[in-house]
Amino acid sequence: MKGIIFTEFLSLVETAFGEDMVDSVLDTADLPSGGAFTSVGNYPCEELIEMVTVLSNMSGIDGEKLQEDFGAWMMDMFEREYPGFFEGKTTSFELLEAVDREIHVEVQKLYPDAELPRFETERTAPDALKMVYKSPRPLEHFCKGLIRASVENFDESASINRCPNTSGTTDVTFNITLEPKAINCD
Amino acid sequence: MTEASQPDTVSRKRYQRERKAREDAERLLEDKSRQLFLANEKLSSYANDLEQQVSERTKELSEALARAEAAITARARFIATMSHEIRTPLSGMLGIVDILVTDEIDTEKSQLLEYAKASGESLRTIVNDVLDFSRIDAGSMHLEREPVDLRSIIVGLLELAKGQLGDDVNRLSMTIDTDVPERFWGDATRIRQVISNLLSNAIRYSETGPIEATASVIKTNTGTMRLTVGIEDSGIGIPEAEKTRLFKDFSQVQNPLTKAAQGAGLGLALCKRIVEKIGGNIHFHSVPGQGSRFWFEIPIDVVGLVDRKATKKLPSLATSLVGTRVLLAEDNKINQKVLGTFLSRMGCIVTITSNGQEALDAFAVGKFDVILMDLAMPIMDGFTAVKALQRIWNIADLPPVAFLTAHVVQSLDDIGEDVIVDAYLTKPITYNELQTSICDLLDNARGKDAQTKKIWQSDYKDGIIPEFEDVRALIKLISPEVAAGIVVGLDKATLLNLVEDLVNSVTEALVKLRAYKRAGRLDAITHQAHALKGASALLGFRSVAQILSMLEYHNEAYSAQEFEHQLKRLESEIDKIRQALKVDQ
Ligand code: HEM
Repeated sequence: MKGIIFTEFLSLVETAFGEDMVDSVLDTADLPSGGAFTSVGNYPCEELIEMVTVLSNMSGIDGEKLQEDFGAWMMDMFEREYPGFFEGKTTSFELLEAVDREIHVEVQKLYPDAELPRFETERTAPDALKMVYKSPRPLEHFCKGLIRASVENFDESASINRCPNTSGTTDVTFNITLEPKAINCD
Repeated sequence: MTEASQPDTVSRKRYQRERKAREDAERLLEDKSRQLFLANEKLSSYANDLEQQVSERTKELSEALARAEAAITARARFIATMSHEIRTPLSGMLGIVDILVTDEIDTEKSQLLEYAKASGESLRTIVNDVLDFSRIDAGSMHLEREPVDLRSIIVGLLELAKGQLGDDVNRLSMTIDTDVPERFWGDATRIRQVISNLLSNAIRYSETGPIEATASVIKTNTGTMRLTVGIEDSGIGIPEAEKTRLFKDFSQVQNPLTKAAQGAGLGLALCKRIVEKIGGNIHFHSVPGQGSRFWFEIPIDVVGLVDRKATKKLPSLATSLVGTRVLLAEDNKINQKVLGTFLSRMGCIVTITSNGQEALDAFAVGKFDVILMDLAMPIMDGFTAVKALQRIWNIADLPPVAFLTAHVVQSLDDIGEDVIVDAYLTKPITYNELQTSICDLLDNARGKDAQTKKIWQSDYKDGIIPEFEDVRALIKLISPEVAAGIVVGLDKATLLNLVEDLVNSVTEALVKLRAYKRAGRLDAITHQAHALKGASALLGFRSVAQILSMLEYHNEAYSAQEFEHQLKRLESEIDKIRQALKVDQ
């Protein structure tokens, strides 16, 4: 997995919990790489999971919640660093449908050693998108965070439900249903 | 101070981690950039390889091309050499067969000899065609620029064709527009070759019906002239399917109706190549069952100045060669024998020399009527000899010269401009060709020689050639024109020998002719009559020749009685000659 994922995770930890937490996580976690991540390297996905687990223990925050927030963090990073992929997209669904068809295709070309998930998408209703995440890596909550951020960044609101897995595979199906945006009273 | 020391320890750990990360990153980047460098190098070596491959391929290709071209030239040269090598022995063979044919009395054998002759001649056609082809292929066919007399070419060809036609010579006719210039610049040999080819096709593919040669000219708007020469027959025509491959090499119109088609079928293809080389086109129009017309048109250039050949007349085979004095220079013994015999048979008086030097030594003004000069000879070649002759003597005093070559002379440059040549004879030379050529040469030179000839003739009339005084009875039987030549050209003993030979041959033939008639072997009769007809005509026994000619052409139509009647006439004519011989001796 690309080093940028790891360095971004550490900057999320630093932003949310401070430098010391970064040191503590790195000191505590069992990391064959020694925690000296660079954006240009490649590291095993397990080290990311290990750091999430250690952070969860230290912060008392649920690991799944941490993964999801990290997904959202990454989405912001992508928007900042790869604006080209967002051009011409007017809704979150358009963007999500484009991940498998365009974005990850281009990513794979940029980084031939990238390990990317596959997605199947289907509009089950005008306001509903079914998205099946297929990956050997257990990053479904990270994925959910990415989806959430996508919706939010288009100034939309939606419920993102993870359906129970009946297929016996590691596939995870998300049903994303747009909701009328809550209008706050001032 | 704790405030200060704490960040210190934190920063140390972080420092070490960051340093490791930086080192890792640097190493990774270093690796990446090395990979990039290597990839780059590979790419540029690919590029170089490609460039090299391209230049190698190009080199290979141009080498292959050069090899192919060399192979083509080598092949053409090989074929040319081979054909040449074949022509020389073929020449000897055909000559000998020719002699045997005239000598042979046994009909079966002479039939076989006729076959051998026909095969040899068709082989010669093939070899010549192949040679011409290879020459065109090798780009070494050079066209002559010489005055061409189309009328004389066509007349000559028609004369020769009469031999092929047998009984109905009247099938041949020619129409040459008066606009067609007397003489124009061109390559007479090649033009003759094309017309000859078309003519023999017309004869080959039409068993009956007229064959007409036509020629006309048109002036183009640019002021140049184009000559159209056509040969039209009313034969079997060309089937639709054959039309497209007519001018292709080695293809032949299938023709069950006529005698087996001879030649390799290169004829028309060769005509096309030659005509195109001259800058013209060849076409045909044919309706199966009705006949074909082939014609070609070429640009021509009228000969303006009157030169040495200006007085040229149409050749006529009637010109008697008896008594013509020929200086022959030829190193090859067989050719000496063949040409010598041919010439003797025509009644010529031959002086044989074996090289240019000997010919020079033998020559004196007024001593010869024609010089036949082989080109390639030891000690002194033909060109050199003729050049020397023309240097030593006044050209007006020299008799016409014909070069004998085993190959068509490629260009006048080979000779040098200062040699005046009257004709080229390409070996193998047949009896007929030799006869026609010498007639031509004499006709051309006649203007010059007329006076001399006249003097001889008047000498004879005045009866002042004592040598023949005592054979007056015989001379009286000989037609006057021939006799004029004989008394000048032959000595008495030779004449008597020749006549005795003839009388004996005809006497023997009479027995055979009767036997053939009984056996119904009409071909044999034709053949036998033909063989003797020439000799009789040559010696000026006109009525003998006439009867033999009737037997040759009409024997099929004769009843047994009519036939016997002709033989009786022949017998009595021969008797007269025999009596004359006796009286004289
Ligand atoms: C411009 C937009 C995006 C970019 C440039 C991008 C790029 C990347 C990159 C570089 C990785 C790391 C692959 C590796 O390290 O081997 C990755 C992984 C991943 N991406 Fe994206 N991505 C984009 C949008 C999304 C979105 C919208 C989703 C969610 C629907 C998504 C889902 C994932 C997931 C789940 C992974 C983790 C690998 C896995 O689970 O197999 N990506 N992406």
